[in-house]
Amino acid sequence: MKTIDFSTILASSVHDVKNSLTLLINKIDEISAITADKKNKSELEQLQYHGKRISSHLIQLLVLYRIEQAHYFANITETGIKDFLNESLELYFPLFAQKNISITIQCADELYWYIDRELINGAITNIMNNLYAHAQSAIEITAYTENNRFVLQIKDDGNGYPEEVLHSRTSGQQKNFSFTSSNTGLGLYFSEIAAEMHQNNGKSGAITISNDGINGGGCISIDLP
Amino acid sequence: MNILNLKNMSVLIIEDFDKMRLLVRDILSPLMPEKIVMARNGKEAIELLEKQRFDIVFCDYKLGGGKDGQQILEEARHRNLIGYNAIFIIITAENTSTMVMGAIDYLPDDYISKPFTPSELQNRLEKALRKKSSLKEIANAIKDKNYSKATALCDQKLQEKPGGQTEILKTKGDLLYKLGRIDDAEDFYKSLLDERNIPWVRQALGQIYFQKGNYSQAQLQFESLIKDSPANVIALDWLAATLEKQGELDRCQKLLEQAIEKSPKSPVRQRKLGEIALQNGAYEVAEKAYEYAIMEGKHSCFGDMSDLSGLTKSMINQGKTEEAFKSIESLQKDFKNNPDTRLHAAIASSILCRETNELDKCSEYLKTVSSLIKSQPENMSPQTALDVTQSCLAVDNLEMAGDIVKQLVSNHFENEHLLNQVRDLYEKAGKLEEGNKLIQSSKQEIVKINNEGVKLAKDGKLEQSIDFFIQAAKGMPNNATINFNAAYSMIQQMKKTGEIGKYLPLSKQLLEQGHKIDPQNQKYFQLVKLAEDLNSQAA
Repeated sequence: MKTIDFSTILASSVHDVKNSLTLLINKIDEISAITADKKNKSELEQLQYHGKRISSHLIQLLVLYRIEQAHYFANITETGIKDFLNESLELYFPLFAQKNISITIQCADELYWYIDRELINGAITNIMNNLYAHAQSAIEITAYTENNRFVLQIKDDGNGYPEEVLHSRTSGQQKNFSFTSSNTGLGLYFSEIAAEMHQNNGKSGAITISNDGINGGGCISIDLP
Repeated sequence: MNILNLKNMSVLIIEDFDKMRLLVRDILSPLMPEKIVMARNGKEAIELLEKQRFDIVFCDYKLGGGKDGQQILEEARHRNLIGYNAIFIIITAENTSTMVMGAIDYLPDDYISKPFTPSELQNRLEKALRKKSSLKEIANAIKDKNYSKATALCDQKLQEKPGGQTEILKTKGDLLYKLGRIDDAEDFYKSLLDERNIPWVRQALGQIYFQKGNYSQAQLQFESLIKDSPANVIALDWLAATLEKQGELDRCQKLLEQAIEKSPKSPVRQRKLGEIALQNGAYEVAEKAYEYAIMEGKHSCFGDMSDLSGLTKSMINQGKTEEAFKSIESLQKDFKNNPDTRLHAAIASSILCRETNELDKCSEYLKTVSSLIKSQPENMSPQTALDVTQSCLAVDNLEMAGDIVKQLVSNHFENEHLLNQVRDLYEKAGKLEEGNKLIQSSKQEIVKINNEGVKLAKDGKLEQSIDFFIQAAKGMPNNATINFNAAYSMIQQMKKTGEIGKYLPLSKQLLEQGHKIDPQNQKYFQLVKLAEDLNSQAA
C-alpha cells in the first residue's frame, strides 16, 4: 500500500482546521459588533484573541511545512519598519493594556529594511503570544541598524528563558528546542527559520536569546543582513 | 486613530455587495472627502471613470459577472482614465496577489484582503497617500514629459534620504530608459545589485539586456529570478520572450504554460501561448489557449478578436473542422457587441473554407473582409494580413492579395523575416514570380519615399523634409523607419532654430510610435536622447 507522508496529512488537516477557525473568528467578530454589554464584549475579545492565536499558530505550521518541502520562497522587499511594527502589533496593544502590560516601540521613522513581512510578522506574533503569558508589566521593542545589519530586539520583565533553553542555544544544539514545556520551543524554532530565510550576498539572518531583558527578563534579537 | 484627511479628494468605491460597499463608505466618510461615488460593477465603474477624475479608487476584485477588479484597473490605466497620482486599491478575498495578477504593468497601489478593520483600511490608504505625496513633484515632471527634471528630482530625493526609496529608485531607472540613456540605466541597476540582490532590480536589468538584444545575459537574469521564486510570473513571461527571440520555441511554450498555470487570466499571455504552440504543432494546447484568450478578453481592454483565426487554425490542424464552424458561429453571437467581431469572424471563416476546400464560400467571406476593411480601416496585425493573403491566393484573388501585401510591406519593409513569409505564401500558391515582383515594387516605393525625405534633410531643407515625412507617416503609421526619420528631421530643425516648442511633442510622439512597432530598434534610444538633450537645454 502506498502511504502518504505523515507531515502532508498533518498539513492538509491543519489547513482544513484553519479554514473552520477563520469562519469561527468571523462569527465572533459579527457577534461582537452587535454586542453592547461591556462585560460580554470584553469576553468576546478574549475569545477573539485566542482564536487568532490558534490561527497564527496554524499559519506558522503551514509556513514551516512549506519551507521544509521547499515550497516557500522568501519575498523580501524594502519595508518601512515603523509602519510594519505598528501593523503587526495592532492586535496586541489593547490586549496587553487589559493586563496592564505596557508596550513601547523604539524605531526611527526613517528606518527601512529588506524583510519578508509574512515571516517576520509570524516571528513577532509568536514572541508576543509567549509574552502574553510571561511578561509582568513591560515590553520594550527596539529596531535599529548596526554594521549594515538590521536588529529587532524584544525585551520583557518576566522570569527570563529557562536555563535549558538558553543552554541548548549556547551549546550549539541549534533548533533543538524543547517542545514539551510550553510553546516556547516552536516559537523559537519558527523565529530561527524565519531569520535564516533572509539571505543577502552570502550572509544570512539569525536570532539570539538571553536573559538581558528588563530586570533579568527575556531578550530576543532577530538580526537580518 | 490617525487623523487622515481626504479633503478635496474624490473617491470611487466599486463593489457589487451592498453591505460591503456601504461599509467602505462608512469607513471613509468621516475622513471628509469631497465626494464618494459608488459603482456596483465594471460597466458602471468605467462609465464613471470616463466622466470624472477620481483621486482614490477602492475596487473589489470579484464583481460577479463582467469585468473584475484587475481588468478595471488595466482599462483605467491603459486608457488614462485615472491620473498618474490617483490611488487604486484592490480588495481581495484571498490574501495572495498572484491569484489575481493580470498584466504586470498594471499593479494596484495596494491589495487589502477581506475581512479588514476600519483602521486597517485607513492605514493602507494613508500609506498609499504618503507614498504618492512624496513622489508628487517627480510625478508632475513626468506628466509634463520633462524627464530630465524628473531624473534630477529623483537624484535629489535619493541624496536627502537613502532608505525607503524603492519607488524612487524604480522611477529613476524608468526615466533613464525614457531618456534614451539605456547604458546609464544598465549601470544604475548593476550598482544597486552590488549592494543587494533585489528581485525587481534583477528584473529591470534583464529587460534592459533584452532591449539591447543581449539575450543570453537577459536569460541569465530571468532564470536566476525564477530559481529564487518559481511563481514569479513576470520573470517567466520575460524568459519565454527571451527564448522566443533565440528560437527555442519548445522551452518557450513550457514556460508560458507554467506562467499560465499560476496566472491564467491574462489574454495577452494566453494569446502568446496560442501563437507559440501553433508554431510548435501543439494544436491542442493552442486551441485551449486561444479559447481562453477570447473568453478572458471579453471584459478586458486587451481582448483581440483576431484570436478567432488562431483558434480556427488550431482546430483545423486537429481535423476538427465541424467544431470550428460551430465555434466561430457561437462566438460571433457571444461577441456581437464587439465591433471587430464581424471582420475577424469573416477572416476565420475564410481560413476554414480555404482549408476545407470550399473555395466559393471562401471567396464570399473574403468579399465581406474586403468591404469591412474599407468601411472601418483597422490596423491589421502582420499575422492577420498573412492569413488573409493566403486565403486570397487560394481563391486566386490576386488583386486583393496585392492590396494587403502592399500595405503590409509599406509598414514593415525592413522586416526580412516577414517579407520571406509573404514570399513563401506566393511560392506555395505557385506564384513566386508575382510575389517577388509585388514585394520588390512595394519595397522600392517606400525606399524611394524614405530616401527622398532623407535627401531633403541632408540638403538642409528641413521644413520640407518634415512636411514630406509627416505626409508619409500618415500613409504608413506602422513604418518604424519613417517615424524615426520624421522625428530625426524635426530634431535637426530644433537644433538649427533653437526652437523646440513646435516639434518636440510631435517628434516624441513619432518616436514612441516607432518604438512600439519595433521595440528593439536602437535608433529610438539615440533619437530620444537627442530630443531630451534639446529639451533639458531649453529648460
